[in-house]
Amino acid sequence: MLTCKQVSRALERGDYAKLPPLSRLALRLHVAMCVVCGGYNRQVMAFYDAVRAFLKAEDADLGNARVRLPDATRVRLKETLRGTSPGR
Amino acid sequence: MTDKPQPSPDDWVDLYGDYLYRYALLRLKNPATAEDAVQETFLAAVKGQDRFDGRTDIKFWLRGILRNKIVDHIRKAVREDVVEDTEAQGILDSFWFKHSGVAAIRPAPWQFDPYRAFEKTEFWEIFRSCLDQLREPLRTAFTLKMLEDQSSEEICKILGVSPNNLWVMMHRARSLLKTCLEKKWAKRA
Ligand SMILES: [Zn+2]
Repeated sequence: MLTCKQVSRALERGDYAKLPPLSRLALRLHVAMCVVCGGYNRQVMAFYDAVRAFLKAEDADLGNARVRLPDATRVRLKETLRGTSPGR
Repeated sequence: MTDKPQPSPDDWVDLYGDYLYRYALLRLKNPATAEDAVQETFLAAVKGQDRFDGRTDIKFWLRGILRNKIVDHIRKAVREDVVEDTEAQGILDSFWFKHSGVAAIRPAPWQFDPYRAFEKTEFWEIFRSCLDQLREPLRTAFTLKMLEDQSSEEICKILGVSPNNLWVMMHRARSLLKTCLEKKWAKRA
């Protein structure tokens, strides 16, 4: 059995979806049922879920956004890159 | 998976310049800084070409470099403009938090079903605008932790705050975001 502290620590460390399936399941179960830390940790989990979906939506949007690298910068960058040789 | 032919550096600017610039702009909010980050990315990539193993799309390799450059820029910006969060200490010092930790924190239930909202494209525009409205240093803390996947130790170093303080900042960022999302998402419906 996980303690509330262990659950909170694990969620503080990073996205629980990146944990191995069993740890993820244990966390999910604890948070779903715990009357002590559930209220708080459900919100933490919801934000990880939100951000994961947000990043996916953001990346899809990056491909067709209207903002473009300014032309002057583009030209300058190309010149700079041409003058740069690969390191070792 | 077999290695596929990758574009040469001569074509990088045309192929990935816009993508990387948009990404940098979303995180850094400042066009000049975003351009700098893109330039640094391309330079580092040209110099480190032989470290690219060809197994992923070069776009994602470049984005990986860019993300490091973005964190560097945030680190620099924070150092120039030191921010302090005094409200955070209040929560940590409160009797209930000292007594029972996170059990003392009972966020109100969501006023809408977040998981259903996640399926809607418009929700992410609102999410973005709420994120941009977060005051500093909460926006930076949330960006580093949640969007750029930095470790808490690293973020504490960057922001010059204690782990407890970062914890409260993240909690406040979530609460403010939630309030903002509820207001904007409900208004739209
Ligand atoms: Zn618990």
